[in-house]
Amino acid sequence: MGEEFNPSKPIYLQLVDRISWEIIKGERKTGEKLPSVREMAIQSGVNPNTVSRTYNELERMEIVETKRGQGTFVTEEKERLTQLREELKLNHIQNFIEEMKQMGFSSEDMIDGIRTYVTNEKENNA
Amino acid sequence: MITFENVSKKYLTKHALSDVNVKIPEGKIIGLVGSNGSGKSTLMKMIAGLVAPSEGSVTIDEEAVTRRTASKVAYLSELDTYYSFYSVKETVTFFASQFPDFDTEKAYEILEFMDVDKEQKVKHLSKGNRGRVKIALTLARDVPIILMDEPLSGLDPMVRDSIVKGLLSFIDLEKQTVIITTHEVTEIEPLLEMVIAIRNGKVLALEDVETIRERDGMRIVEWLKKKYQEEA
Amino acid sequence: MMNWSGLLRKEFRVTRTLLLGVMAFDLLVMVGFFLASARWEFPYLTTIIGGVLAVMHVFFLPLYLLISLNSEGRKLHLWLHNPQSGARLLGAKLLNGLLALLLSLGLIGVLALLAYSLETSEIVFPFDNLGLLVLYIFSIILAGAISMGVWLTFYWTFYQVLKTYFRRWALLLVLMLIGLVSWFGGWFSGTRLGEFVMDWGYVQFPSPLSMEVNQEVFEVSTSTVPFPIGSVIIDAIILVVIFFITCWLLDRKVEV
Repeated sequence: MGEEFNPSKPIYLQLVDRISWEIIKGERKTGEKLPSVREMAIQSGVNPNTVSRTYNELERMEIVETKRGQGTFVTEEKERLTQLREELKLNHIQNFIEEMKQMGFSSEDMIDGIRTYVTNEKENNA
Repeated sequence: MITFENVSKKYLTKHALSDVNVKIPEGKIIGLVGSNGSGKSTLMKMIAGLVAPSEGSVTIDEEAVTRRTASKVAYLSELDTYYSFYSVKETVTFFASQFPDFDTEKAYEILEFMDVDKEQKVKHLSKGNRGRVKIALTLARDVPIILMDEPLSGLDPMVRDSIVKGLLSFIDLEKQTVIITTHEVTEIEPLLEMVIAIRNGKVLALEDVETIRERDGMRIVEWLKKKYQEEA
Repeated sequence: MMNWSGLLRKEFRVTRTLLLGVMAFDLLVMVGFFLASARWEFPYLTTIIGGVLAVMHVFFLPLYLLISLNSEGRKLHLWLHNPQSGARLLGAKLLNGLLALLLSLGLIGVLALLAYSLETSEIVFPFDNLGLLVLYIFSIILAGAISMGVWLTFYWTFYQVLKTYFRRWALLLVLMLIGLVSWFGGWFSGTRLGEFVMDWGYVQFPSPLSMEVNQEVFEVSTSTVPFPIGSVIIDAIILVVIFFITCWLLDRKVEV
């Protein structure tokens, strides 16, 4: 059956995140047609009305466009997608920082930690 | 819209439903959840016109429900019953003869989708396949209201998966309302848009599933537990 | 009518095995007695047995309906989840039962006639007009069967209504109702009003019995038999009313 969903967040927002993520990763290309509401519902095991809501939200965010009678497409506005990428980045950083703070790390600890981690990874790969 | 107004159902020693007031909106998949004997099945049968209220009224689009409301309602019973002398195909033909809105092509399409052999006698099918046949017979009807009482119970995960997929593929929420009772709430949670919680014959709440997630941060099961505790 | 014919076809399937069983029984009994009669040298034995079997068919319809209805009783939600009226649901069963009755009766009739025509012994029967006698017996069997069938359907449906509320006491209540109704019928037909309502409209029908035999013994003219049209009309009206009450109960009061 469909994938697991986090119980504390509306499913339509989780689908918004998932589709945005797929677009950023390049799994869904600019201008590509998204599955119809019904197809998407079947693929993800989610109520069709929830999928509609997801598409509406994506449209409101200007990540997708609905063309009358043709379906829903990933936007061709590269700028918007770049912006989306930045937004997601910011989002992740925010989450990271919040959790680190809760664990009692200072900003310096975090930056140091990241630098060390990245350096180690480079050496390992080399 | 299905409306329950001050509906009670009394038997000699038992209250199956007491003073139920609920308006069930159209175009949604709605879960009816509650413990065993809470009145889920009675509520479903009332919408199908197979049980009459002792007090109050049940209406569909302001029209009182009777047995013959079957023309607007497709009802899938929790019981594993069928005409044992019929093959799957003959069962489809019989249903098509009884319900003018029955779409034979669609029934075959669903059966194919669920991989059921049409030539077999229904009584020779496995329980899982009989469950699938019941689903096909229900979903093949072009009716505004579809009631499914425990469509997943006693079926293995593979069958459940194909039933859920079938449900999503073959219903049309622009025209149809689906009400489902199930014990496997978590399994079909993403399918549900709304839930009705029922306990001891009383409807405790009618709520949007996404709202429950957003506001309470809960799954339906947890929310139901909370509702039960509040009531107790 | 499309959906009613679908129902009729289903009803036929519900009781097909039963009908085939009964007809096999008919055949077995008739052929058995035909073979035996040759050895026992009992004149017209097979024909007489055929008559007895035919008369027993008065119970065929109620039994048939009981079996057919009980098979639905185990899956009421399947039978009742149907947009067709109760009159059609029950009518399909009644009509099928009648058809089955006629088939079985027809088989016995043909076999009895065959045995009759093959009979070699010479006996004078006390009736002149065999065709008329058969027609009368047939009418009585049919009328009796329909009457019992309709009442049985009523009591069965009433039982289903009571069962929802009284469970195992329902059967007792229905049996009490049957007793009450038959007591009332008996009592009422004995009253003046009862006689006034039921006992009228006698017409004379030609008698199939031969005059000489009866004249010698009873010294009455038997060239005609009195036939109570009034009572037949009243019975028919009662049956129609009972049938529609049954349909109403099925549509409004029976619960699954």
